[in-house]
Amino acid sequence: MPGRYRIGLDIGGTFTDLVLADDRTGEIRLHKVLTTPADPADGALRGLRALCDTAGIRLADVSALIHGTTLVTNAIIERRGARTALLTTRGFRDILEMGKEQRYDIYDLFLQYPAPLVPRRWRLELDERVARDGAVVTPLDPAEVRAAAGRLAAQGVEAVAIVLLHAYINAAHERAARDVVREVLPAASISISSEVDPEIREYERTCTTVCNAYVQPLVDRYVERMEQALAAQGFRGRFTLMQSSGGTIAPDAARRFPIRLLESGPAGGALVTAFFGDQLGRRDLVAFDMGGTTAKLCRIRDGQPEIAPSIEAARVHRFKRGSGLPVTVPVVDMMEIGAGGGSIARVDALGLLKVGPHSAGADPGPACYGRGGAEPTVTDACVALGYFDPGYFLGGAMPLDARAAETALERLGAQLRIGAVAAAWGIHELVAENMAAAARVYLIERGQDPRRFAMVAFGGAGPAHAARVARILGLRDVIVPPASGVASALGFLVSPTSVDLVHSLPGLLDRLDWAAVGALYRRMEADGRAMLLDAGVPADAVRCRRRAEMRLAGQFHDIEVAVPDGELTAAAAPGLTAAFEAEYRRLYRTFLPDRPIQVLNWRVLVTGPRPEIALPRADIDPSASPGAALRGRRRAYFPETEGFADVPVYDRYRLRPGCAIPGPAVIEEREATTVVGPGDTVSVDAVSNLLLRVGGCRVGGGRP
Amino acid sequence: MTSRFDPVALEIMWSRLVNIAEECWITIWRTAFSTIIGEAQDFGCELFDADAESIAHSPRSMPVFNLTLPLAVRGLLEAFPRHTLAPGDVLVTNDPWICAGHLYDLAVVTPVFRRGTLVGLVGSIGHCSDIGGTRDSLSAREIYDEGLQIPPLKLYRGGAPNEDLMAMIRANVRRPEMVLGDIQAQVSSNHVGAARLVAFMDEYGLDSLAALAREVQSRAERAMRDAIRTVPEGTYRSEVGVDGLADPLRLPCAVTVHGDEITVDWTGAPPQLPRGGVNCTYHYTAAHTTYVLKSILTPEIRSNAGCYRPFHVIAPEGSVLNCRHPASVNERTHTGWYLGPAVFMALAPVLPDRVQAFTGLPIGMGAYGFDAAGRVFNDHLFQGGGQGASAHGDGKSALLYPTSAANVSVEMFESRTPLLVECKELIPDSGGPGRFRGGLGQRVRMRLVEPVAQPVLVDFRPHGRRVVTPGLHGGLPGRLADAYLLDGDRGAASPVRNGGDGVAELRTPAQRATIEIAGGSGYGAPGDRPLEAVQSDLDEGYVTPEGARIYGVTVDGGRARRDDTARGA
Repeated sequence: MPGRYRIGLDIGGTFTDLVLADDRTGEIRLHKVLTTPADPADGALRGLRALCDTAGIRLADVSALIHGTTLVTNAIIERRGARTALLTTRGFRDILEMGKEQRYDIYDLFLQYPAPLVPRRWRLELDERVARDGAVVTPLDPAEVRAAAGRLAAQGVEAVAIVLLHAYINAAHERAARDVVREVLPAASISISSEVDPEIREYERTCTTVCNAYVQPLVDRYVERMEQALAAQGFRGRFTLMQSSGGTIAPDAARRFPIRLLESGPAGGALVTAFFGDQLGRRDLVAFDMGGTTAKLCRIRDGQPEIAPSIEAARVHRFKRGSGLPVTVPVVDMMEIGAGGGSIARVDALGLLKVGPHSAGADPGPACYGRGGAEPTVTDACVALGYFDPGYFLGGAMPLDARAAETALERLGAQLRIGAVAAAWGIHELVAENMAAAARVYLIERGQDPRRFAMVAFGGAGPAHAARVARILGLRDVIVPPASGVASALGFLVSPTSVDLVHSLPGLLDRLDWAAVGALYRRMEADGRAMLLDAGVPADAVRCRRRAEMRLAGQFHDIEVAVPDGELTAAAAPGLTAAFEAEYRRLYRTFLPDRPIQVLNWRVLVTGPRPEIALPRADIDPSASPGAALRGRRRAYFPETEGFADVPVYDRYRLRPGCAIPGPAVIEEREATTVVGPGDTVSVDAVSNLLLRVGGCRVGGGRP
Repeated sequence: MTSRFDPVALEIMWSRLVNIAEECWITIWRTAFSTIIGEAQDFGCELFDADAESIAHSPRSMPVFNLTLPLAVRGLLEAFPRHTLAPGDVLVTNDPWICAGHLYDLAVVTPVFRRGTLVGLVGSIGHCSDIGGTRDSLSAREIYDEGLQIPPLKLYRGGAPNEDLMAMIRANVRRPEMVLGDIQAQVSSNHVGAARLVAFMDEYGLDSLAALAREVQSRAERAMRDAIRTVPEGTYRSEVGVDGLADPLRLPCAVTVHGDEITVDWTGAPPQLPRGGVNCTYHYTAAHTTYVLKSILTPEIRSNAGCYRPFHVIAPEGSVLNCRHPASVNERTHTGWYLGPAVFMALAPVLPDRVQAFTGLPIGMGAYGFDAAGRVFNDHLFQGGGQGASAHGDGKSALLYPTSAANVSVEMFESRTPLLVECKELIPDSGGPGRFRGGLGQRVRMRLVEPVAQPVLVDFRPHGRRVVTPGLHGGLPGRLADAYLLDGDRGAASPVRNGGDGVAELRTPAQRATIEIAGGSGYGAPGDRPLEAVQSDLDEGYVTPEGARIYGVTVDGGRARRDDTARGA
């Protein structure tokens, strides 16, 4: 392997995070700079220089740069994309605007929907038609395409999406149309649905293809600028971009399919979760990333981030399903809810306490920031309950005004006829409950039992709330990893080279052509291995994992079932039937044994080894005592202790591997505070993870 | 009275109950077999206390099912008193007078037992893909023509399926494996909900849901009463027309606000009709009347039985809004979907910014038959009309209202039927003009891909083909709905107007069934619409130059300019 240094680079809305890994020593070095929104490459390049300078290396010494960005998601939210047109089948130009025609809130008469990214005047129709089986009903007329492209050229269109009905089964018309458009509009970006999202359902496919076209010129310019600037500074390594799925993509492919970069940051969070879980031998995990405005959850199953087939971008109501633009790209399966440190608490029309989704943001921020925020937030509650030390927020860089928090909470409490502390506890409990409720629906909608998972908590607010959320969900273990402040960028560096291959070969389970399935798997696995070998993965390190998507014939939704390795014959059918039935019964509690089972897609995940990052490691000393790390004691509120109790406060950086701490306790680090409740215990492992074991507390326990 | 639930605990428990209903919803959605349930989502899930009072429903539930299911549960409990129920029992009915107003809507209800005591009920209503009877609903004279009537029965007894009933259903419906599969999805959903409800009670140590139910219901009720008190007292009247059968009908509406209660009186509604299925049962009338009041008054409050206690609905017995057995009822949306707009119209003078002009009503085009290879199919293509405008802005073009359904993908529909959809497009100038414009209606046209031996039947009866529904505060009506058949070569064919027949019979690819769904009505006088908004509508083709004249503009070279004579020209 050439070179010894790799860099993960994550450009977020506020900060650009960088992590440098030295593959020889296993050391990592972190760096954070402010994002430069006008030209994000500017801040990134400056950060790269600074990081290399402090490490005493040159950019030329870096062998790999893995880059994630919010460029795509922000361009769609802020409508800063290209002048985009749509060419589609005659009779269907309004599909993009009609959407699902569904009301996402049945009592709100005045719902808002996102405006389509292509105005109607730039949605042109072509007299062509392909039937459901791919047969051509009406041939495409190139002259008509040429005329349409000419009209678009006159309008100054920069990008063109081409979406024709049933193109997922026969792409010939889309390809022919693209060739003609390219002649007329040589400078325009062109996206065709059969390449961007070759799946049935015209609205979702149209929307995805349009989104791709809409951001293409922007990403194209950006990637080109980065490549040139990196080359100019002597970078000779491999430059890749992180996709929403957690896999990396070469710059050329990113420029063709920029929509795949939509959620690269959260993908990094999922990857780092898998990495930490793997080190602990935990294969089923929930990543819990709680920041200032939102909390994000995603799943790691069997050591891999779970991938969803689609996500909604740019919701009008951020937390209302159905109010956004559906984008069908493989994406780390996550759920976002409006619960963060800045989430505001209020009393609703029924006299009940509500927390979020509105956030005080960073400015004015929570009342305790002392910047004029008067409404109590989740962070204010943490201060009032004694969890956060007003003098050690961000390591003391930002003193908090505890009195302001209390005043805000008193005001809220007065409306509820309870005291400030009770109000603070209410906020703390309710925000945990909101997150747990959302997590439960998220997991159950995906057919998962929450209790099987361990949680990995990060983000500024994650470690303070994780144990309580875990307890409500019935999770026993919470892991608070070190270096959580730059989790996504770190995740980019631990992403194993992997490829997820899928092929549709539908058939009934008891009547399958097993020879064809076997041949299919041999081909897919050979393709996957070849791709990994190309990427430098040693042949004996490649692993294949097979899954199949199955349903009762006639249903619309699938259940995923593991497929055995090795040669497949009809002898596999009874096992698959049993596995499907067991999973079906677990999810839905009944079964229809007389129905034929249909397999739709056969999948294989081909992975290489995870790149090693050796986190600073120390020997476990079972006799280690936390005493040396004790910063002091303070009064913190827990319902289980019937009020305020005197609890120890520890300095995370001085806790030694092997030491164990019974709750209640508070563990402080610069970017976060871990709250250990009564009945919980925490221990420190060899790489400085905090391992929190959730005790047997009553749910909905005592109250002030 | 002080509550034993503090504001935090109550909020948490209330959310949990809604979540349980949502899990039930997901179960049906993921396990359904028909397009109407699996894709269009024509179903709803709800939880009840032991007194059969609603505690929570899924946020995605079909609105009218949320209000008819409680009545169905009560009806089922009258037939099967509590002491006759045992764990593992599942009850079912589709009686339109007990349940949701036509035979397609099947209530499946499971009593929930905890430690041997009935603590609540979990249920759903799903619109099954077929229930037997005629496919030509407008020809039905009595309920007997409309399909299989399932009185309150046990679908499961102590966990064992009622095979006699299953056999009876199997023998009476088209594509029985699809219908029975969907029913099983409803049973699964109840199992999931029951297990979650018991786990919830275990976790909180609740032996009964009664106190919690009373608390959430009384809070919702109080919020509703508070909201009603903000409405000026008085009686507000309106009248809407509906297509009816041979002659259009008028539905007079009187909304009386008195203190913290509202009475909606439909006295004067015409007598029930002897055929065509456009009659509403009282349950259905009450549900549509009160759903719209809830949307106007407390849209942000999670719904339960309490919200509806301050409402009273009067509908004369034997009228189209309170028909007697054995009237035909299958097409009751043709009457019942106008009740909401009538209430909006009545309240528009006193609540101008909380009402909405008439929304073009949707259609689920059921398509049934055998393809050229003899395989049976029965699938639905759903689509909506133009949303009515309001004080808050223009209506959305193409929206399913007053349902919570989603449309069905054309590609998905085509993959399950031998039909090809030629267009699904907005109709220019179909949005009702106004200061705020109604959303545009849409046109859908379909044909066979190949000739078939027996005619394929396509539902062909859009709402609002004859009677216009005016806009609010000077807004004008949107374009009417239409249905017609084209026969012969493209371009040469002249439309055959047989939409009134209710069902299109397609034999060859040359026959093309077209449905045009109505646009939404406008809000405010068209002359008050800003010139820039008219110009934008012209640029996007929502309005044609000819159609723009009603706004008092003339169009020259694509540019609109004010011209007060334009409207009269």
